Amino acid sequence: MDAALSFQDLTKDYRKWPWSKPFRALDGFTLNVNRGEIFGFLGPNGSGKTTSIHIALGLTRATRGSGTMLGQPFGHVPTRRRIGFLAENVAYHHITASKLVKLHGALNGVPGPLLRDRTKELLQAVDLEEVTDKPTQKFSRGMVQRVGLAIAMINDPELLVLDEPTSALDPAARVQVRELLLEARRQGKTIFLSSHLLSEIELICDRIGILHRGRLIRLGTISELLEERDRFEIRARNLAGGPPEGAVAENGFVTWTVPAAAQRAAIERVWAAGGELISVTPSRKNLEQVFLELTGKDSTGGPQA
Amino acid sequence: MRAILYIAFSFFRQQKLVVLVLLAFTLVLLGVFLSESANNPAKTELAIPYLQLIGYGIFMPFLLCTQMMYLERKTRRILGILSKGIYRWQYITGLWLAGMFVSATQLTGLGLAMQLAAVWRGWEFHIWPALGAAFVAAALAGAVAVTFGCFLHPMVATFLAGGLLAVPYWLSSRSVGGFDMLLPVVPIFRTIMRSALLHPWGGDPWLLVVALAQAALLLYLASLLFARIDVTSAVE
Ligand SMILES: Nc1ncnc2c1ncn2[C@@H]1O[C@H](COP(=O)(O)OP(=O)(O)O)[C@@H](O)[C@H]1O
Ligand SMILES: [Mg+2]
Repeated sequence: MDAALSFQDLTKDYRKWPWSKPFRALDGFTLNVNRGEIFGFLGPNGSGKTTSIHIALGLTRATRGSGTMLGQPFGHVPTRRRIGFLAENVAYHHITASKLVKLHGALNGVPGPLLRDRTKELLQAVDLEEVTDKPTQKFSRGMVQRVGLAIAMINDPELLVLDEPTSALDPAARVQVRELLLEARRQGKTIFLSSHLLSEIELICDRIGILHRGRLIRLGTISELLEERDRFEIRARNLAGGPPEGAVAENGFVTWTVPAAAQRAAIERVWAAGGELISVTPSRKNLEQVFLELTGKDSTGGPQA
Repeated sequence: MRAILYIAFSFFRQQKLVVLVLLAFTLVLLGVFLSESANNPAKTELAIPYLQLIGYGIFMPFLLCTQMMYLERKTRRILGILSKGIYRWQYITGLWLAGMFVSATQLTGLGLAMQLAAVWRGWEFHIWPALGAAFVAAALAGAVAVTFGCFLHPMVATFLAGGLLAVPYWLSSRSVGGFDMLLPVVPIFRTIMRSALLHPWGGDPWLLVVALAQAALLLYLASLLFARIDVTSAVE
């Protein structure tokens, strides 16, 4: 089956004036997102996440390259009716939350009675049922972001494109959104989630891509990215003669990592010392470590948007 | 067609205040004239401020059409709207139509107020054909405004669009031939001024047809232009 979302060798140069020196925000960016997966689109600020999303939705044009969304080229208007989009900085409107959701649903061709029901349902799902008739101007940023999520789902989209959807949410709301997204995946939707909140991504995404200076520098499942096949973590207790070098002692357990080649020796040492072996597991970094290693300390790819 | 109406109403709703202020102004004027029975104002005295209000009915949509897009981009509301299954030309048309709603509301309110004054005083005014002509002028002025407003800062857009409307009029007033049918917003407004609502509107009906055709052409042009524009950053 074809990809839900596919970026093919996209390059985007921004220039202030037609004659001024271009700034390259995307540089040969290629990525295929499978149908039915939750894809985590990671990258430091300014790496080009928002730019690629805007190109996919036809809000801006690529300088070079192309791509498809649900099998149709970027910018294909009827296809956009089957997409849900949440922009990075959700805009404030003058109208009430429910009117706003209905306006966006209507623009995507959701028929009247269904629109009414779904609006109510979705505003309830994002915990805004008490303020549906209040103007969104008076909302907090977190509330507006939740309205934005309701808008993104109003047309029951096959593909959800969410640009940092939880950046303004409190922890409780984040959990709620996570549930919402997992439910959407159960229904067979594809979710393309841009974020720099690593813990979020780690919890729900099937695959991750890391963007850096407009290029995809890493792609894989969470475990592919985090597990180091050539290192193991050893956990033991009751070691006579003290813990080995570099080990961390905690609650009576000692934990340390060894290269694969030294695994056997390490285990034998535990037994020799009269210790009890608790576990031997592939060593796992956290996403933050991987992210920082890959993108380096100097992680900004130019002036901030 | 529906998408255009949704967009138009959404823009129109944002201009509630403008519309209300214009209507209130019309009503206040009407009140003044109806209540001043003692010193019995002349018919011409009533016509002059109303002629001015007709001018607003053309100028307001012109101003709005140069500005609305800029505000949408600045607030990033445009990203949410244009990411839906709608075409750029529908957005442009909806925006222009919102300007026409403002004009139509203003001109209709004005017409009703004058009609009322006319009946009250037993005067004869020639209101509706003149207001119809004013609406056509507004449609053309709005189309010019949208064309510039979709890619320029409103200040620049207002200046250029205003200039574009003034140049053909200026040329034909210097008896340079062939310009009197080009973007005839000013000529139409002048025919209304000349009749002053006291005489039948005396303009050439062809002028209106030509104006509408030019408005449609400009909207088409604006759509072509706007379809190529990045809407992700505000115009500086
Ligand atoms: N409209 C624009 N004009 C000029 N530069 C831009 C514009 N939008 C984004 N950029 C630049 O492009 C780079 C990528 O930005 P963006 O796609 O917003 O990154 P991200 O979403 O990953 O933070 C940034 O360096 C930003 O400054
Ligand atoms: Mg971004």
